[in-house]
Amino acid sequence: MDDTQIVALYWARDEAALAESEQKYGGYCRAIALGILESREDAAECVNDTWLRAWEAMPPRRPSRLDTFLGKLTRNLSLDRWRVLRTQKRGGGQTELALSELEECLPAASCPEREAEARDLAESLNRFLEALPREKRVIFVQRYWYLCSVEQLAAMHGMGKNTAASILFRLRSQLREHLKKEGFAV
Amino acid sequence: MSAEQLLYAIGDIRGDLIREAVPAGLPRRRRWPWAAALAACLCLVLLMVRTTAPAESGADTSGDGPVGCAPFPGEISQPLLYWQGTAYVWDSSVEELPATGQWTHLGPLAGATAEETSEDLWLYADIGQVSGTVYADPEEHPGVLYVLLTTEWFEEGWVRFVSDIRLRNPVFLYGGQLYYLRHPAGNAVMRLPAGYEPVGTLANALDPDRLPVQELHGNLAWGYEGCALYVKPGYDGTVYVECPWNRNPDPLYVPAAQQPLLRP
Repeated sequence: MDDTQIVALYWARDEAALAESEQKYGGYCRAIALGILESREDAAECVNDTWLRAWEAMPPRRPSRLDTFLGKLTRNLSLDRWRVLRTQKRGGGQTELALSELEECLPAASCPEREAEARDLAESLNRFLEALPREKRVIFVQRYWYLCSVEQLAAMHGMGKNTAASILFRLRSQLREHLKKEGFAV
Repeated sequence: MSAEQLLYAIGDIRGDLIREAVPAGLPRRRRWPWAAALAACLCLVLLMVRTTAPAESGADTSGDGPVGCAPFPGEISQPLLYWQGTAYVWDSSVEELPATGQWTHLGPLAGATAEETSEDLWLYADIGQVSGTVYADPEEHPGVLYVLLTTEWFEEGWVRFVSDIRLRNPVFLYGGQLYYLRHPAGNAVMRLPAGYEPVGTLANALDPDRLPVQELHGNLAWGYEGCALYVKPGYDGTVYVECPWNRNPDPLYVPAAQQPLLRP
């Protein structure tokens, strides 16, 4: 089914939208979640949560492309879950637990401000990526958006692991300079 | 700014940058939606049973869509486009008109409920308003039409219509035979069955609108390019394509068979 048709199902509050999303983008979203969580159960839960978030977001949202819209939802949900799991894993780290719990209590008023900051940062990242040669840009996004391992990057781009690692090192340095130049505190 | 904030912010980069970097083996946005393909096959069969020469009778204004078709949003049946007596099924939306081919402008599209319909070029979609322009390359790509659709229920864009169902499946050529890949969901296996051996890796044919003619080449959406093909010597049934799965150390094996997908 075409993306536009699936979006129309969400707008019509037709639950078939969830099944169509799973059918078309379930594999894509699962792979994104697995890249972050490395546990099939956690990944499956994040993907299920993705369809629910999409249900809440549409309407009012009407994304022109569902792949990245759903992919971003999955990525954020997976990162959130990863944070919770990390906090739990550290055991006795009550400070982390308390911080994590207190984050939920932050006043809503601070959200627009934080969102604006995040938007500015994402726009700055877009500018940084646009200026890179295509292969470097792809490597950066595969590493820091899809969370691919360095071994995977080396295999996908036909290069040694050390070469991939050194490309990433240089890209991080370039990003640091770029962010400094654009006024972000790093 | 913490590294965590940066990691979240990277999540909000532009969609084209994300799509450009989809890792190999991870399913890309599909050009061949399988459920729609199956529904469309049903539509074609049912429509052929119901009427032998639909184009001659002009537009069907009864609003009674083909039985058994997948529902289209807004009560629309699976759209069918008629040209020169042949039905073309709505396949998928595409970014642009493919570079491979001499696509010429056929004319404006007429809706099934429009007052004036062209005998040769009309869209059966069971809706009031249809507008768009149709492009064809009958010499090189007889099974495909492209439509630049401009209508209120669809954001302006290109849609691929297909009359040859073989062009709607991810397909590759091996041993002189076409093999059709099954959808990984519910079909892929974690372990390769006994007796299968690798015979080479698959490559993408340059033209998605023609059946592959070169050995081990195919219309391979979803990042199957470069994946290994496994066959069982002496057995011409199911073959398997290895599909690396992101960080999962064990790849998945997706079956492919010589029969096009005509049933679920």
